[in-house]
Amino acid sequence: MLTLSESDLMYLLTLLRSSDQPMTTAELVLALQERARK
Amino acid sequence: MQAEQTLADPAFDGTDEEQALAADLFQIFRAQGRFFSDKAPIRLSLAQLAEVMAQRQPRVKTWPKRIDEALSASPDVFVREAAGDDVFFVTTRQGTHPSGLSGQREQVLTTRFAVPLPKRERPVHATPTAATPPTIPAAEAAPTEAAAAPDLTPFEVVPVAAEVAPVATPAALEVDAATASDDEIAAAIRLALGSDMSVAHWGDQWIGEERLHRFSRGDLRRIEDFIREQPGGVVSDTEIAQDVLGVRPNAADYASTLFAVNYRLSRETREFEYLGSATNGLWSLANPAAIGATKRKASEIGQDYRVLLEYGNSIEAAEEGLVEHILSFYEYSYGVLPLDANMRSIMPAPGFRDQRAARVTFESPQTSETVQAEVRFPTGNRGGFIVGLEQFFAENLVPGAVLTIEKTDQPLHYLLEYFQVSGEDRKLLHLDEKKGKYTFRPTTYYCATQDEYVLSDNRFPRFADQKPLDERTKRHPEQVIHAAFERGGENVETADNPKYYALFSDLLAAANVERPVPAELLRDILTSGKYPEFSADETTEDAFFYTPAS
Repeated sequence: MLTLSESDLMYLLTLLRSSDQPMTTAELVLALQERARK
Repeated sequence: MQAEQTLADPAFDGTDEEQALAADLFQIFRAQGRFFSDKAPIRLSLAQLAEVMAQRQPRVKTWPKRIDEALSASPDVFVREAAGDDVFFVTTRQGTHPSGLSGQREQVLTTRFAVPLPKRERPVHATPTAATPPTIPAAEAAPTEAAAAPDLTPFEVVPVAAEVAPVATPAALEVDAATASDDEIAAAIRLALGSDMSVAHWGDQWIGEERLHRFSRGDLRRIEDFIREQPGGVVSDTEIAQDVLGVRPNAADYASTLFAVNYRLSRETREFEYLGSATNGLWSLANPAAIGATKRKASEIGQDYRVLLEYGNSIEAAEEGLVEHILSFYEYSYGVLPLDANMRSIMPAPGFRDQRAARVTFESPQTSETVQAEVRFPTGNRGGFIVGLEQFFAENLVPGAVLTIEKTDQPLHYLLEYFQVSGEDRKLLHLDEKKGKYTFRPTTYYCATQDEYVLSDNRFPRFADQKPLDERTKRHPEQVIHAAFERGGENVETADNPKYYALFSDLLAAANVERPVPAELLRDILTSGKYPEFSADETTEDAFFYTPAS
């Protein structure tokens, strides 16, 4: 079973709670990948 | 009745631009601390805030500086804290200065948990609890003014029991976004966010629950009335958004309004039922007139299709968006189609977990009619299927007919086609409902068929006057195959000591008279060795023997 690290989860929650527009799973995947690349 | 608390936004200082940014960021703080009390400190790092803003506007490279300036310009709302290289800002849901609150917090529930009671005179035998101290992972807890001896860190539950038993949890592997595949990350996201109550989920989309528009009881009543007034009793989310809520498709919040319609109505299960897909919302009032089969209950059909939970998962390469299917006797009789892997590849995915059904339409170019049907999604022990085609099948097709089902540009709308041929007359298998027996009737039909699946009197004469198998026998696929050998095979031994011989294709057609038996299941039963009464004919491909137990 795969799960998110706490840091990744926190990041996504912050992202979702601050956005007025719904985001797709693919967009969230991309956001995590971009964050990991930084 | 639920009362919704609304908090006024605080006044921000600084330039217009700083005020606008501070107001925007304040919403992030408020979302982060949505379960906090109004005066509890909410603490976020500058790096966290910059990351969120960079996600929204990646071209701006100076977010840390701009955020720092904007929030520092409103010292009545935000407190700036520096710890080494890290900078944090703290505020409250009310937007008041969070300092000076520690004195008040001594009376809150968390404090009472944290401060141990004086020892009792008589010891209490407490059983060890199996819990590790959970902490709410939302925002980092802001330090209270450090003087007091007990740790008053808000929202941390202090374990009471001395012994903590180990908790058996399934091993979960943290996904590394830098190296994991897209599918792995997506699976981890679905798992993590799917159980988070602060995130709203519809189909493949997510949004913070607090960001989503809420509907008043009046709104819900108007939506209910609107659905009731529609002739079919079913309306789309776009109709609700535009006609009831008055939100135009070009409005900036149109997408989130559709999301809100679908998510909020999905919480009102007493009033509404979702019949849409993961991408297209469709609503009816609760307990709509179900589209079903007249001769068999939907729950029983679901039980019959239970085999699809294990079998029917291989996708046969076909044209994109198109499925070819040969109609079995069972499917013809009840007007159903299996929701196997092939069909799932073109049928709508559910928009919500535990969704019962999706409403779809099939258009037949040959007959120029459109038929309403329902996709019944699989549940714990029932397989998925499509139901509602009984009349169409009876009027136009016969068992063995070759169908194509094709996706269209219209969501939830499909083309159901068959090849029309000049009339063919054959004696085909029917179930005489009055006598409760199978019989062969002269039938004229105008659809192309796959001969192997046509149940004609010259191929399956022994079906005549046979009674359908009882429900108990039908629940055991191997017993259905016994009957298929006896009805569709040939006895190559004596009447007293029979041994039946049949081709795979004959068995497949005969077994699928009584219940769904996918080809993979049939082959598995015949060749797995689990059922010694079946054996393969070594000299002929796809031919098998059945020796009944004496």
